[in-house]
Amino acid sequence: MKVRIIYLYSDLCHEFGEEYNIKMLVKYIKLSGADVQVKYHTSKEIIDFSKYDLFYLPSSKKYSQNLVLNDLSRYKRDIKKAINDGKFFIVLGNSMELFGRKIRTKKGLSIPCLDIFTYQTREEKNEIVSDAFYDFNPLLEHKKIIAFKNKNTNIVHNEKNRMFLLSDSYNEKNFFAMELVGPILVRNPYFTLYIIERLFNNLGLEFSFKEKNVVEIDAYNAFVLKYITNKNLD
Amino acid sequence: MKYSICIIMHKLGLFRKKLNTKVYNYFNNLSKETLKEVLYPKNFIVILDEDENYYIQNMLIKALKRENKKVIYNKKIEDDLTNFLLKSSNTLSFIIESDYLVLTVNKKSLKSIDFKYVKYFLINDINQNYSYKNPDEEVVIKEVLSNINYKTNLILNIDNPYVNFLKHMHKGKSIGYGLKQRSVKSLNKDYLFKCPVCHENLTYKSRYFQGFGSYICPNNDFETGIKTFEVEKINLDEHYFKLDGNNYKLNSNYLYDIYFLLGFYSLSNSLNIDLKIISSVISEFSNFHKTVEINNVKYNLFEAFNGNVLDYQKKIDFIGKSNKPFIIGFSKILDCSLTDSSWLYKINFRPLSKLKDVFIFFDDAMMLEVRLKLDEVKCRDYNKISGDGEVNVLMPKNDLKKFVEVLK
Repeated sequence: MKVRIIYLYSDLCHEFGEEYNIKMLVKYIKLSGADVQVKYHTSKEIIDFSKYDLFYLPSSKKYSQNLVLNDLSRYKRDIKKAINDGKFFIVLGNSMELFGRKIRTKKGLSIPCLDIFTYQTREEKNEIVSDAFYDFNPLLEHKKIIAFKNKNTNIVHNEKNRMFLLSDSYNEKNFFAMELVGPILVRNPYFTLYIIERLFNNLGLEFSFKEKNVVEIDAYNAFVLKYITNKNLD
Repeated sequence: MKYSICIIMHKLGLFRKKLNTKVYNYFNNLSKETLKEVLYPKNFIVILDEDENYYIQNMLIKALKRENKKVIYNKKIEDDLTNFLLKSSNTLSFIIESDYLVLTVNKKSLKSIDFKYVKYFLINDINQNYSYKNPDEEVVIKEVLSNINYKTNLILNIDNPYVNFLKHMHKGKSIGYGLKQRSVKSLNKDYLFKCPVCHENLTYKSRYFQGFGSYICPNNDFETGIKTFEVEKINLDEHYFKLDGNNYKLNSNYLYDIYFLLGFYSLSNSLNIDLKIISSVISEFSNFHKTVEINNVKYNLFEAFNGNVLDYQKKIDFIGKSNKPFIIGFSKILDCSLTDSSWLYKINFRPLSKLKDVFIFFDDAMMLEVRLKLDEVKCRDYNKISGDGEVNVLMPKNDLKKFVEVLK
């Protein structure tokens, strides 16, 4: 049985190196004992939500974000059904904004979004640029998410389903979204494995990860050992 | 009177000290008012340089001084140039007393300039770095367009589609420069640029470096267009290029550096600087790597600028063509961030995949190893290289010093 991944709007959404997350997913799924196929969807193609197990949507430029939103709007019901059915969504960077209720621009305009979840986005005057080290409790001893923020928005009205302490993340069933970049899955191999293990359980696959000299894990551990201290935690 | 006092305070550096918030806000507003009174020289030149290379500014200053012109220029790019401009002004007349005023700016500092007084505004590239800077070229384009005046003369590198877009949008005069169309081997499709008008992929007739080249949009009339200054021929091996029928020295291994020289040439021609002076300044430009010999091994030391995608790319392209062992690394990913490695993913490292020996130096460079392996570059931790031979090394300046000390 193959794990079926679709990289949504791969022609429009490829900022901050997030397109390399797919390579990480493929590598780690194979190391975990399964076959995988990836569809690189482009904006002119139709999406059949029944054909895939995992939907991947990373950051895009501003004009591309509008194009993605317009196109995704016709799939609102399919998206809701897929989420309710327990399908996996990894949504990163500014793509997280699309799944909320609306985006309020700094000029006061209100842009309706997919309204899948109740959070909203508010554009700010200034850019928010910083390192981010977040606790993610399901990872237990390897708890930290290493990421970077480069955005000019804030997610608001998001109290209940945050993945991390701050509001720029959301998790419901197998929908994982964060307004962060990295590339996330490359920088955070334990988080990647957490997603894959959940995915395997969902699909009835046996998860057995062969962890020997995996460079991403060595790089992650070396970074955490050197840099993560109490004073630079969020 | 209050404007003169404001200028005196800037000259004495009083705004640099910590002031009470209300006092600071009052003088900040007063500074902006005072700036409106400043009278600029007729020859007011602005150069957009997000990467802080200063190559074009340095060449221009040299050329102007050789023509015995008085030049005032900033040595450092600041987000707000109000302090610099007021410090440079006469306290009583508010005149910046100079033949030329040359400012190198970033997109933030554009706001402190009144473009109706700017004679020429040169843009060689719109920032493509991803570290602590907005990655969206359209944001930079909007900032530029919202600040410039229709009277501003633009001098633009139109081999870059985003810079060329300014030429299309600008209501005033523009001069374009670039390289002559020539057939080159096709480069990786991942690094193509999109049409800034309709956002579809551009069709390239030729490509020189990443997304720079001769292009046309299949959907509309956006294309490279005619260049006022066009390099006709380039010979990297013999270190020269041909422009307007004359040969000029190219003291660099990198194709991309021609754009700096061409930008300087275009600006100098527009300012009617003597051609002999232009030629001499171009021949003095040098961007070769240093070489150091230790224990019978020659180390070619290439200085890396972490965060600067184009600079890394030109060096990777050059190093990838040689068969020599290669050592790469850094002790810090960026000065301003511990985590932002996204800029590494905008560089095509595949040219290194042909090399047999690629070594990583410094512990923090493990994320670099992760990145290289994603581009199928076989790399391993640094091992001492013995015997005769030549090795290429790419590291930031301070790390190169540490590396050389380790070797010794």
